Amino acid sequence: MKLSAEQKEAIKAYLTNAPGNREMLESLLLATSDGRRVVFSNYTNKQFESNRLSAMAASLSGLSLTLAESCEKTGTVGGIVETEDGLIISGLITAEAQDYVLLGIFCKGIQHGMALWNFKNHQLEFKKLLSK
Amino acid sequence: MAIKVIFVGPMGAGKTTAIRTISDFDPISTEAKNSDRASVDKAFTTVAMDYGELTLDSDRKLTLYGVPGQKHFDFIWPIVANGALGGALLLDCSRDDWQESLLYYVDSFRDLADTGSLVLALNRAADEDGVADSVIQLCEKIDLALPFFFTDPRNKDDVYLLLEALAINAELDSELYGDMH
Repeated sequence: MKLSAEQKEAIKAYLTNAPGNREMLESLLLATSDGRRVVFSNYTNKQFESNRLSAMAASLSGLSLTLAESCEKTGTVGGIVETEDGLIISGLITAEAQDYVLLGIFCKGIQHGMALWNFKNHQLEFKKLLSK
Repeated sequence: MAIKVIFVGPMGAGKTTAIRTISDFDPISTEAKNSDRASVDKAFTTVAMDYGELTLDSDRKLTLYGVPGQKHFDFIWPIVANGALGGALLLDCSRDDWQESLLYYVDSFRDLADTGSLVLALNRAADEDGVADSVIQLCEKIDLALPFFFTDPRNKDDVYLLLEALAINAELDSELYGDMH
């Protein structure tokens, strides 16, 4: 993991200031694709275990990729876990030296389209931040 | 009938290689770029599981599962291990921490170890006598008698040997306790 101090600061600032997060997002987590936490932002008072979530996000991402390959689907971008309490969306962010997994935990009642749109925006922003 | 066997142990010990060596087909794997090259210098590492199969005869096949070795993936170990006949614990004995790893992973898969359904695969051991002595001492310390073999996970016969050891134990277990189960 080779994030510069500037990148880390920029990511933290983004997580703090990203518009609309608190209205639909419970949490946003960035981990390396092999399951190490990079940053974690919790917009609720729920007690998430971010290290554990990081490993699980990496496993989910790995399984999604393999499942897609087995189904002869290419260009895997992520996976969705649907619950009665909201959506959990994971997405792969590829970068030169290290790949990352972004995990978004969305609140109850959120519409799929809205959650996906929001998540894609975050994914895009993180890709920019990680590529700098 | 499908018989489930798991391959466990730390990152870089040879679990994925062992499954690839004996599987009937190119194993299904879930690999990601390794962000800890300082610890183990390999480009990719398993993040969910490996899966392969080995056909024994027309009625029976072994299903081969490999777990991700890094400790932060311990949440998935019991999920993958569920229903396994036995397991092979692979260790890279060229690493300074292999003894610590042995104790850690035996403890993590203690249910298998207690029933004799765990065999040790000792890889890259330069001093086999010294390693054997250490293994015996460590097993005494944790009150276990685990079968161990010096192996190369790239060698089919070596991996078969591990499976045979597990099969023999399963047969003995069945003969000794079959009526009680």
